[in-house]
Amino acid sequence: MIGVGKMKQYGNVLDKPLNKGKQEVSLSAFAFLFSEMVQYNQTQVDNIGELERRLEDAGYAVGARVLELLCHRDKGNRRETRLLGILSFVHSTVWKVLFGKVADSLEKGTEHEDEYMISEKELLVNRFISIPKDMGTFNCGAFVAGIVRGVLDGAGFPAVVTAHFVPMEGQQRPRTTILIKFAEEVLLRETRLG
Amino acid sequence: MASRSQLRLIFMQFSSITFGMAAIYSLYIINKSGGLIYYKDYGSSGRMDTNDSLRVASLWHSMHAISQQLSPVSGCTGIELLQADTFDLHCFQSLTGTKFFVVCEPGTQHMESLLKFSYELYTDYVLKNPFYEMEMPIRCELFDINLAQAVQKDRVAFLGR
Amino acid sequence: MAPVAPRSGDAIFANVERVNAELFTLTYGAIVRQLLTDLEEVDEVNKQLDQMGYNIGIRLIDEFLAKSNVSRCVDFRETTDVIAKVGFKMFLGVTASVANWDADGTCCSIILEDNPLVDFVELPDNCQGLYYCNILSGVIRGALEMVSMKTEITWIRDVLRGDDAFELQVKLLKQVPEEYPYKDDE
Repeated sequence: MIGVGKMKQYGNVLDKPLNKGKQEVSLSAFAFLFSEMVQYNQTQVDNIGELERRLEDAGYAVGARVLELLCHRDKGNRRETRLLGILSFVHSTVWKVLFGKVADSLEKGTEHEDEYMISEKELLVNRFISIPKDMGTFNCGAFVAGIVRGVLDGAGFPAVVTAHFVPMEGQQRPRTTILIKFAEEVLLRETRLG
Repeated sequence: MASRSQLRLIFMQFSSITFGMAAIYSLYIINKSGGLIYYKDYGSSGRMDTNDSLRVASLWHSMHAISQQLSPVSGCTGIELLQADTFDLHCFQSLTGTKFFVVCEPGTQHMESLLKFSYELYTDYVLKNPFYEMEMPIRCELFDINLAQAVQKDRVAFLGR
Repeated sequence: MAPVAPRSGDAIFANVERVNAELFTLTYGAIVRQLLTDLEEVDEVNKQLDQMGYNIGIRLIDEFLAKSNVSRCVDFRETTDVIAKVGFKMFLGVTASVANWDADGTCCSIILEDNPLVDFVELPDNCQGLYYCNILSGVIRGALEMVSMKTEITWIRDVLRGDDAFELQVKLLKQVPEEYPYKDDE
């Protein structure tokens, strides 16, 4: 082998120790990557609904991995099994790791028993993005909705998760609400568990 | 190139703006081929119509290029400041060829830093926006909002002197 | 009066807003997965990653110039040095080094010892031809093209393919002199 670098060799990626998750990259690097992902996906769709679905799928792949990673590293291979536990795990632990802060709020839907909302005044992925008028209510937060769905699904809490802009009184910019609607089986199980 | 009379006409329009209260009259961004991709009026009067702003942009693009050729200084990167009786025009050109220029009341301070800051805002709110197409006119709400705030701050700094 | 170019990107990186590298790594992974699903052929994925990198590069260069205070580089040698020491640090938080210069100073290697794109990654058997980090070569190519340098970039070493480091060969094809288009009267 010529000039062995500092990078340590592992025969298998599984032999490599999991790092502490303290490494950082610039927000700009992420923002450019995210922007390019949205642009690429725009070339693959005919309408805004499909674009949302594709961003959500990309997010789902991230969420599924985040769940595994965090359960292993931060929770000693345990995961939440109750509804409020998993919601608070998403709102606090997942958000903190991915976006550097706990989400602004976690609320229960007032009209439907099966709905919960995680809201953020300014979602990290939307920091630099202005939605053109002709795209209506489209929100790149669909990617984050996908992450949330990935985490929930992997933990046994299937749900439909969507991202929405919600205008705020006295604020120039709307906030983003991630709306979580759990599958019926999840609520039935919760009731059974008491 | 525009004729001399056209030039005078446009500059007279600038002068009419000086009766407004604001120190900064307008801000332009032109792409590397000379196309106007952003124009914002911050003056209270004497707004320019689309044709005139496009004309100013292409005029400035050409004058800037010519100034580089005519300059006795080797490696000259073009006019940075044009001073007239009724306005100053400060220009900043990035190494990638995009030009930012601001038209303001004569003697307005800190315009270089305002332009530099506009360039930073452009890299954030324009270039990181997936819905912005390179070299095309800028229609990004967040860029407008942040730029307006920067101009406002500058105005405050100016008034507070 | 040329401002002194910073010798390293450490100070800049310390001052910019940062995010957890895992968000970046996993998002990049999700993109590669999408491409593998959409395009099926590994060669096509390599091409698309390079194209996406190029698209990023032509935008990212302005951010680099606006926020790094690097001034115009005198030659290709200084340019690659700035990319390795300032560019990689400022965006990815890692330092690269430059080596293997050819005699006429138009070709060299950028060597990465740490690369946040590949955490958690191992190439499966059906993706052995994948240049997983191909987006990086596109970024450099796109960024340099915006400052009038046409380059060709090739992977020489890739840790995911069993090498001991990441090595990108950067070859200067031509330096386009700055030209101003003079249009006729319209």
